[in-house]
Amino acid sequence: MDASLAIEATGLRRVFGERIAVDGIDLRVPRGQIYGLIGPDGAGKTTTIRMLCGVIELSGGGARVAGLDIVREREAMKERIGYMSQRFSLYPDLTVIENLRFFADLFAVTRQQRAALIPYLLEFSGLTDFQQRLAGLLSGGMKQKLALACTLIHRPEVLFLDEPTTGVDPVARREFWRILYGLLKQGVTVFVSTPYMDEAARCQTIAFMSEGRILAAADPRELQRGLPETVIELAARPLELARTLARAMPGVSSVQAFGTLLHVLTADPQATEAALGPGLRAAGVEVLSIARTLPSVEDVFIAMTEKKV
Amino acid sequence: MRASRIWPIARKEFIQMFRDRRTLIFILMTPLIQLLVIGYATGGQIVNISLAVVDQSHSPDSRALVQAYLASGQFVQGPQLDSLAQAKVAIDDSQAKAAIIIPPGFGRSVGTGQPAEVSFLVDGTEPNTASTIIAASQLIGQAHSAQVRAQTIGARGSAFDIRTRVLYNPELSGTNYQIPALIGLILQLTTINLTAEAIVRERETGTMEQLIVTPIRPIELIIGKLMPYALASLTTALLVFIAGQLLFQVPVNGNVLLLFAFMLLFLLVPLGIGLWISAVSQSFRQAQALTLLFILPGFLLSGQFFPIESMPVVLRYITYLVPLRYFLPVLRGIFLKGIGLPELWPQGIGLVFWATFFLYLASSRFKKTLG
Repeated sequence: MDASLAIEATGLRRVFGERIAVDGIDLRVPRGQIYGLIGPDGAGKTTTIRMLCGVIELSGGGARVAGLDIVREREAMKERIGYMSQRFSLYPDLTVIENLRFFADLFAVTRQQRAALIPYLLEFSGLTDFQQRLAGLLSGGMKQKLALACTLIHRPEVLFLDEPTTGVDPVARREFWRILYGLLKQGVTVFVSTPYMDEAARCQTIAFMSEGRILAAADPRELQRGLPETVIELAARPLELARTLARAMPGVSSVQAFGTLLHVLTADPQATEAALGPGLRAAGVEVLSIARTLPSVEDVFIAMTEKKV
Repeated sequence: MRASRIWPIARKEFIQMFRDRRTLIFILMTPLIQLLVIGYATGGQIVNISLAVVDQSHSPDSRALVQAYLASGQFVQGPQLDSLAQAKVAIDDSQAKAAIIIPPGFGRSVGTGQPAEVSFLVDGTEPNTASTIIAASQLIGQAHSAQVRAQTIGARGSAFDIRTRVLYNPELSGTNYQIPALIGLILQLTTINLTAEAIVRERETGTMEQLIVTPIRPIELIIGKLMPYALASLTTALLVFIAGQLLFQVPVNGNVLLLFAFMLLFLLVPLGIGLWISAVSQSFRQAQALTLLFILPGFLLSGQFFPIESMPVVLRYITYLVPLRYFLPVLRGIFLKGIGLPELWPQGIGLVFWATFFLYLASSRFKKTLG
């Protein structure tokens, strides 16, 4: 095995009855990276993370995490990883400090380590003033940060985060990512799943996951550059009508809405551009702007899923 | 197995238990309420039984007999009637719970020292009450007849006394019979209830997933979780024990230490059952349904309220599957009869068997993964 890899999985597979949740995936996650697992709900992200953390059994394949086999050396592996599940899963009837101490106890964190680490974790999660508050009474963002602090109490080498920012407000999300970058500087490998494409761009490597398979894994900028299609950004009113019409234009492979804008993916930008403006205006659509733009991570993901089908 | 990982779990459970006031009150109050209800409802003595009187003798002796019944405090004067038929009607109409019929020749028989027959009618709709009435009617009647005989025969110079004694429970007190058994019922109820929720709660709040990624071993988690609940159950059992002494003066004729030793042994059974429920249930609802499944037969087939000896044969064999049925004879035996290990060891073996069975079943179902 490769010592420079934090996670190395081959043919990882999990079946629930008839349903194939994860369909034999390979992963190579270098140490010291933020690695993003991107995909829609039901793609198999949570199942993948749970297998890697030893929470559920494998149906096939294998993996090494932090240098240890996730089946044969499962318990030893658990001392080297941190895992934050999708749901807020701390004890709501314990206080902030009681939650931290509980996990410190289970991981047998020594008194000296604790004396240094607990104030630091409280500080960076902004919970110093809320130590005595019951965890159940914290705001969503604070709960998330407390959960993170608890998973860091034993100084894990590899940190697994399953959709850590789902249901957290944008300010808290930005704050959370700032903390993750801080961890990166300390050499921790972060493996994070997210349905948010804008968060994917913050990762050093991303893997697109769809229907239990990994479609591609690379640097997000590389993926954006590598997209053969061109993206035309369109602002128009009414949006729905514009979207329907744009789909029928020459060269167009897909049209996605991003808030009030449309992203038109085309293999033949010249032909599309020539037809798009006049075509829409003729149908009575008010066109506000048409311009080529760099593809977003989501554009890349959509282009890939469409090609697969 | 490391104590350093068991202790944090136990401490956490304690904190959670004390912080959840409602559950804590439930744990402590329910047994006491049960004690009061069962203690007073099964009643030390059944009193104020309306007694219809059919006195066909109209003699001083017959009046003295009736007076003896009324003086006991358990009976109150009901309608005065002339015939057996009228007495039956009175019971049918619930004007009386019981009737005493004294035949015409009663006064003469008593006077000459010949056997006299007195009939007693009892309303049998409530078997518990009825059996108490029957017992009371015989006890009072015999006491009185003994007194009369002693007087008449004593006058002739050949004194002898008839002494009827009811063993173990001279007041025929339902309380003395029920309260020791209640300790068993409460130990079972509280312990299964608490432990059944122990692991399920972690599953429902999602914290199980977090525990799985810590180095804790299943056995450490189980022991850490069981300790606080075992302690809580023992505390409630002790409360019931003390309250039983203070409120109902239930005697303890046997060895108290042996009693507590058996309590600890029995406790392992509901702990095992609760743990097994917790291990196989995915939600509170499932756990509660399963809990009922175990508690109800324990209630009905243990011999707490319905004597096992009077069950149909098939049912009597089924009771051997109910762990509580081994514990109740121990409780009643030590409390009322004052017996010890020489008589109770078979019950002990039964308890050891079921404790081992359920604890093994539970730990074999308990894995440290979600699936």
